[in-house]
Amino acid sequence: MQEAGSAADGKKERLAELAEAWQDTLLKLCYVYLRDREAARDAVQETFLKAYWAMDRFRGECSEKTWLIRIAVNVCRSMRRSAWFRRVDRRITPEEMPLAAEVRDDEAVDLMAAVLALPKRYREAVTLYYWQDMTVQEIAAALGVAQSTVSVRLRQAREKLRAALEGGEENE
Amino acid sequence: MNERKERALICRAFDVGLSGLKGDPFLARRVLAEAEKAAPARRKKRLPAMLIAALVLTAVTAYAVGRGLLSPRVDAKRLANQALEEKYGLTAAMLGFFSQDSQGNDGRHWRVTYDRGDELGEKLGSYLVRVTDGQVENVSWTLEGKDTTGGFDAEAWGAEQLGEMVKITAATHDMNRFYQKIRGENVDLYGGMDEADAPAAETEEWMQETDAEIQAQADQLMKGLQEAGKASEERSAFTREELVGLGRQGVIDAYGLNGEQQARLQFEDTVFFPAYFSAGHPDGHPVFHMTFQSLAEDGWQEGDGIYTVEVNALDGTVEYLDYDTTLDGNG
Repeated sequence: MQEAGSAADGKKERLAELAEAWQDTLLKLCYVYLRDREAARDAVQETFLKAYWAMDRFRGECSEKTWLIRIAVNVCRSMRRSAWFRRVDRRITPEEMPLAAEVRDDEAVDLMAAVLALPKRYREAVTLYYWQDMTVQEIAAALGVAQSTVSVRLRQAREKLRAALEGGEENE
Repeated sequence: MNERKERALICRAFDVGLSGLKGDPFLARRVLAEAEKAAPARRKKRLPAMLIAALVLTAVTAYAVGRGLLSPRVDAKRLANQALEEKYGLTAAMLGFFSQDSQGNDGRHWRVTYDRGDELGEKLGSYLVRVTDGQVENVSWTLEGKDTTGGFDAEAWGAEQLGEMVKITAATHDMNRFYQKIRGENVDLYGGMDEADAPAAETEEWMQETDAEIQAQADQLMKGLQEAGKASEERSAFTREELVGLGRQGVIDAYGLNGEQQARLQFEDTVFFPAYFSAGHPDGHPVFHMTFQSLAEDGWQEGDGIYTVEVNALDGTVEYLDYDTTLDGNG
């Protein structure tokens, strides 16, 4: 009984550590996917719930980050497919961006709006490659697609973002 | 622009654009509270073969009166698709250009909607079908009465234009040309339909090499996903094979696939489209997720695409069914 109790406590402690380490990252990732704050929070909670159930079976086959991102991506995909989600217009204007009150950087905001306006498959590649600094190989593993698919999506995303990127460069 | 500058600009965009998103300090506590609510595991019961046969027979019989093993939500969508074909001549492929959803609060009254939240949606309009107790009550289109004659120069785009969109995207996989048309740009909607879309030889070779490299790591991740669903699998009243059969029949029933289309329908269980168990909402009942793909050898045909299915692993009902024609590229 005592051993079972210790194992359960260990798992809870591990969950708390994972939540502290990765919650903010996953919240922003889920927001980029879902473009809705509350849906992103629900997705993060669902992600850690699934991770908690699967924790005993995780043997370090990949990094914790890749593992959690993989779960989060699947949670977001399920949410996008089901229920009321797809009916709502989720285009995000710069005014609707979740900015901290003190932020003033119009070019960055415009570029983020452009990223959020990308089709999902480009948005996820850009997010994981540039913002999460993952390699093409890691992204392919996290998304369950071929590495070549990731490379093509990144190239196409850059093309779509070109105007917004060049606007930012001019103002550097 | 070099990649270093690109990366710096995009990172800055994320840091600024999402700066107001902050985590929940009580997240771990909430997650644990949810975990403790999950239903306890039950022993898996394997139904004897005779009972499975009777179940399938019941499904066939029930389908004759319109329900089959489709959940009320999925069946409402089936009825709605049928009603739209009857009233407006819209096939499942044409409806693939819309976001579809079935909303209902009581399991009897359903509101099935088809819309598209962008500028193309302003031309296509939205469709609404109301279904009550398995009967279609009302079918409507927001652009009813608008002039749909004159091809893509028409005031509104109905079945005629949607049919052409299916043909054009099946050949070109290019949706951008329709947006260009709406914006008044000079565009050849039918351009490039005869050109082959084969990648260059060196790209093919590189793609094969990189696919091989990533396979091992992707396999490990898929294994993790399967492991995570073990608890749900143990509670399932059906074997995987039985669930695949139920899912496949659900697709056939919901979309009325003919013999040829059924023959092309292939169950997928790969790193790209894994089949797996999970705990469903809201009560954690086991759900089996699966994908079927269909693609004719000589190019896209009606019924081709990707079917995503979720089957309740306790009672065998198809709880979720989505058909992606793969013609519309935007996510």
